[in-house]
Amino acid sequence: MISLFVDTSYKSLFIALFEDKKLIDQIQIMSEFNFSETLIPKLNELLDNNHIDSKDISKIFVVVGPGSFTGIRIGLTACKTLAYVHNIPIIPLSSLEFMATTKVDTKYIIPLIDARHDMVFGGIYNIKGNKVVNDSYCSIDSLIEKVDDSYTFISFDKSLNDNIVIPNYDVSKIVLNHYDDAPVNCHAIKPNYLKQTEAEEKLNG
Amino acid sequence: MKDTYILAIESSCDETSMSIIKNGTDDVATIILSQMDTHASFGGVVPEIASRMHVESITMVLDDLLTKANMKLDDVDAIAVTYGPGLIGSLLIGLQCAKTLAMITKKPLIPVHHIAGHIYANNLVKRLEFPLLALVVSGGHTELVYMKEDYSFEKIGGTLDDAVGEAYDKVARVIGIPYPGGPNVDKLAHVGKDSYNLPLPLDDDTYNFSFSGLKSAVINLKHNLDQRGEKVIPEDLATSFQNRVVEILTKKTLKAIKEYNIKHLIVAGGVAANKGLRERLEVLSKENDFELIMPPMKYCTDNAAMIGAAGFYAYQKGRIAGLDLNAKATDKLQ
Repeated sequence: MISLFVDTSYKSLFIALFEDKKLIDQIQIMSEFNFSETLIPKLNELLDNNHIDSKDISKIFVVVGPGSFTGIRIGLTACKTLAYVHNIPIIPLSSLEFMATTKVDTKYIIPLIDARHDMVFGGIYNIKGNKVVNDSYCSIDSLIEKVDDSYTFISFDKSLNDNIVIPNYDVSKIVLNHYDDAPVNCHAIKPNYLKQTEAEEKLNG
Repeated sequence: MKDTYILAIESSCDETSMSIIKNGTDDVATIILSQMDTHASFGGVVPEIASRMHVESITMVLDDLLTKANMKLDDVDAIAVTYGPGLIGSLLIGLQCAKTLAMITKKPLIPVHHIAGHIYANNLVKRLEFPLLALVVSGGHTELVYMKEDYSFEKIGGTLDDAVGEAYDKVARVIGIPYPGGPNVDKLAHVGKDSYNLPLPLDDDTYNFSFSGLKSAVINLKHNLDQRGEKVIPEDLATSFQNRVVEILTKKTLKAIKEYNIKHLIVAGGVAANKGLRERLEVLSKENDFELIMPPMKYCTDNAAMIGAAGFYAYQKGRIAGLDLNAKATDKLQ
């Protein structure tokens, strides 16, 4: 059984193929602005290189946020379309949890994405990759208050803190942790922005 | 000859639309999901909200389309998509969907310029005849385009600042008319008198337009009246504004018709629905012996049917894109 993994939610484009629970190939590209251009050619390349037709995919794992609003939508739109055409179930994943697959030697991992105005999208995970504190739109200080032991910040945004470790993804770890999650229908799956638009914030006071 | 079916996707602003068009002329099925009611509460289109709504509805629109057309993806010959111009975040949703479909089905991907779509909306009613002149008027565009044959576009003039629809929306706000401003100003203009002294904007020898000066004149007029404690008569201001807009649009269009020896004038884009503009052009068409072609109301606003019609001729001309096609917020029609 073939599974596809897609993440375009922030500064890295990461796609991978699994046969049952075994990683068979992956492509990662670092770039901020052109995932719209590169995602489909790279996906096509990944499938071709492994002699896999899109209709052979039986499960899709897609990162639905938080992160760049546009980036999230690029990967999700492609996955939704693919899932619709071939009737493939989708399993939504967290970008922060994916970052937390990075190997560290502390008890906790705090993945961060710069959300501007001194705020971040952040969460707290243990080294097994399990969630300790839910992903949220918050300040870094409010996260630190919630940990009782050693921790490592994982982020692409080095300016957030002096002690930042760049994500070094382990895609097998997150896929295996969610392999048997209940799937979501292609029409129903939604991005997880963790933040309203400014227009909505103003309107809702 | 074998029939050609184009599956078209349009998501450049606040409509998620998909269509299947046969041979560039027949609308087999079209789905248009408008977000207008949502944006109305914000007084205009909010780009981030538009993008969010597109991604939520995209596969449902595709499903509705295939059901309505009673066709399968394998039955279509090519995938056409609006790649620009428009709201970048909105464009990207339709584009990613189209690219994914092209990858899956291994069918050609055809990039369509949004304005080419508006022009070809008319082809769904009656086959275009060339050479023709297209007056493209919408919330984002005000352009005069000369076409000597299918899918050949020469822009001979355009707005230097605001698009005409944009000017309508801004003036509507000044007068205190609810969103969508354009159609509401048009309605009011039909019951008012041309009593306010407003300038005829960019009345020169070029084919270019400028509406920001006229818009400022409306704002200043309102401001001065307010200061004197006089009340603006909304319908009269609407009439005065609309008359100036219609006059300059038709004046320059007529000049181009004569200079280029045009027999067929197409009016395209959302503002083609404007009654004042339609009525004036109908009179001019009779007086000056040119054929006036305007899309029915349902094809004036953004829709994928027009993208499918344009896409057919782009396909015939071999305009096929790679899977690395990207969206463009602005791009020249060519």
